[in-house]
Amino acid sequence: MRPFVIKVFGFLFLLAVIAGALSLLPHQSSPNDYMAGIVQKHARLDSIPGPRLLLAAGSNMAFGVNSPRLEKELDLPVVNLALHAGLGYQFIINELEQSMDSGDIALLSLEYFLNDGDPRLRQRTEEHFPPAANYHELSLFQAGRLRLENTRTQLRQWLQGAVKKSRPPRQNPIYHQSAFNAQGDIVSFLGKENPTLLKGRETVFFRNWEAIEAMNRLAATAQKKQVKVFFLYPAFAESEYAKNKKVIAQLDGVLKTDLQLEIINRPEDFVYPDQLFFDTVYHLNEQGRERRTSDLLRILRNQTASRKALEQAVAR
Amino acid sequence: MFFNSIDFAVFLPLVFAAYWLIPRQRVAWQNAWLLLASMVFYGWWDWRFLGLILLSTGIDFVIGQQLSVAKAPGKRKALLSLRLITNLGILGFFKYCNFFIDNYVSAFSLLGQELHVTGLAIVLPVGISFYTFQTLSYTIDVYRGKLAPTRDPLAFAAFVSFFPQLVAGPIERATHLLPQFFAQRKFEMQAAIMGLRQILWGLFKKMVIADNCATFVDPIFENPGGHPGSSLAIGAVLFAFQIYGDFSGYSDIAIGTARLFGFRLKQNFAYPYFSRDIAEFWRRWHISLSTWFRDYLYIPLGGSRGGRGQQIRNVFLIFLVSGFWHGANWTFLIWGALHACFFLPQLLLGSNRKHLGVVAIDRCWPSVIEALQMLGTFLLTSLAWIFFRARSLSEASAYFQDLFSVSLFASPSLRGKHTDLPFLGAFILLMLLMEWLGRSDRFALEQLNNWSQPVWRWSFYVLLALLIFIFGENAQQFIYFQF
Repeated sequence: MRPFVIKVFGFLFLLAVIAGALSLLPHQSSPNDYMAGIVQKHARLDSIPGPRLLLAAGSNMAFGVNSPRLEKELDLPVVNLALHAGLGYQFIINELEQSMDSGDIALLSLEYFLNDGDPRLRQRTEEHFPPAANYHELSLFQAGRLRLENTRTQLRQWLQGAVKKSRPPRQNPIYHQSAFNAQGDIVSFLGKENPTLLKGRETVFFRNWEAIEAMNRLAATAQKKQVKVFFLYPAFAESEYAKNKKVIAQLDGVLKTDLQLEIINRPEDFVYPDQLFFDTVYHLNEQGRERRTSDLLRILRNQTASRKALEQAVAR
Repeated sequence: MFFNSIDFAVFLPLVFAAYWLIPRQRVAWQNAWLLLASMVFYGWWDWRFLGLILLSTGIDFVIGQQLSVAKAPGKRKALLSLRLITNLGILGFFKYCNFFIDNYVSAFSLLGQELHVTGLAIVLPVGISFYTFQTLSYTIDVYRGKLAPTRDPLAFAAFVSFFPQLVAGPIERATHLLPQFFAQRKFEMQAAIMGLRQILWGLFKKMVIADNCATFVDPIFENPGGHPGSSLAIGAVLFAFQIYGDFSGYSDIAIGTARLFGFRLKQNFAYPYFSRDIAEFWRRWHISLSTWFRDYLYIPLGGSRGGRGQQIRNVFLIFLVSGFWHGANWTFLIWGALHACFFLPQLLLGSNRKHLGVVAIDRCWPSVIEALQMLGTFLLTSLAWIFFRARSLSEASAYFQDLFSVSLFASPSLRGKHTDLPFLGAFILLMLLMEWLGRSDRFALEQLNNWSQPVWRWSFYVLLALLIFIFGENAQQFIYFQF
């Protein structure tokens, strides 16, 4: 048995040494990465003095709103921080918490039961925008795993790149660094036909949503910083809403009792026919985006709390 | 727990180390440990189904005991029938219930009557078709007097739930595997090394070949209309490699893992894509299932004896049942029927046993005729796989319509997730080359010791491990787990 164990460990040690050596290769970020969009969003955030209207969410808000129109109609500068639901609720909430300043109004619109997301996406975002390190935490295990994952990706790209040097790297036509307008909305999909398949269909199961606790912490900070933060249900495709209506109603009940942020819409307010969605059940297309923007404006103006907050902000 | 997951990478060494720490005279302890490990392995998916497997084990054990004392043929037949009904009843309920409900409703709607019956929300227990067939073979063999029923419930439970082959085979015969649970198992270094080598090869086939093929194949099958015929043709060929890499990779890992514990499982794949005709293909593809059907269905039905009509009936029956075993969908039945159509001419012309040996056994490379025969067989099976992969008959027929259109000659548009097509092609060639070199052996790398110096052998292992590390897709489920 002993020689066998020695051989196995010898082999594993050899592999570990090779993998370790390979992981020392310099890491290159992928060119024109979608996650690099965060840089531009924060540059705008820093360049505009308050009060501002901040939009924090997963990509439902990156796709589903026309910020220049909001800006014009509300007479308030808008910064759309929404990037990717895969960053997880913690990242999105922490980013907003650390970005908002006195007098700002923020709309937080998390996708249903959004979880802690994918650490790889968070790390990729951090590579482009180092302050994002403050928005998330990585365990030692996660960090080690990401290191290996990065090495893997790097080697794959390097090997494949060496073979097809002459060909330009692939660029996703929708998800890339320059996909955003000045306010931070994705605009790369405008004028494009809907893909044939609507992704992200799933049955939502009810569970305790850890994000509520994080949102309540945000509410406390917002109060201290004198920022008005409102919770907003996301845009959602009609067929998916019909399928998950019961669970969403249950969640609505829980949020109404437990959430310390003011909820300014109902889940069904942003439910639209499937054909108004672009590539996923959360991503509105151009027509859907305009409808949601109109609905959002109506909600903001009709809800007492948001109307007051807007009036105060504009008066400043 | 998937074989290609971190969980299994932790689970296996722990189970292995504890297993060999048990003194080898304590066979019962080793069996108890294997049973416990198997329960953990299976319960990792859904612990609720442990009850089902234990129930199945319990019934088989008791009926085996009863068969050993029952002398009257009528009683023995009744016991066997009881077992067949319970075993196939459980399988039928979980696997086929909704299929029959849906078709019942569709049949009425064809007659203009709308029935409002909704299917049941049934979750298919992982591996149910595999362990049901394994336990069935035990009861049938005891009934036929080929095997004495075991009196050791622990060994029997360990045999039924043996984790390496529990969820996707090979479907072992009790006559082959059960006696191994009573024998003393001695650690043998060469066998263990061979086991690890087979696991490494299986992981390469699963993670590098099958999972990368899947990233090309899935978008094509999701939207066949959005791709030219040329892409659909490549998609069909890639699916042939995907399902082979996936299932034979799984079998290699299962057999290799069993070897680590001192067990020998049956060979499940014998290089089926080097077959020169369909009959040979079926002697080489999913051998444990094909031989199960041969021994427990085809031969009792009369096999190739009897008149033409009986022969044709038997062939169709066996292929249709085989198709239906895979899943409750018309696509699997058509897949089976197609293979029956491919096979039948050979049977009727008496050429179904023409190619019993290994192709080009005394040569390095095949002759032109042999190469063409292999290519032809591969293309036939690839076409049939389209039915196997499609979710419905209409999807399959749309695939065929677009495949055999003018766009078959258009430039293909294919995109994988992480790996480029030329790289995937190179990996497939590497697999085919290694399998060609090892085509006389039970798995491609079995004789690696005889070919190469240790330094080259280790370099090859490192190369495989690096390819898995760099190009292996993240833990995708094995296709055959759904069956």
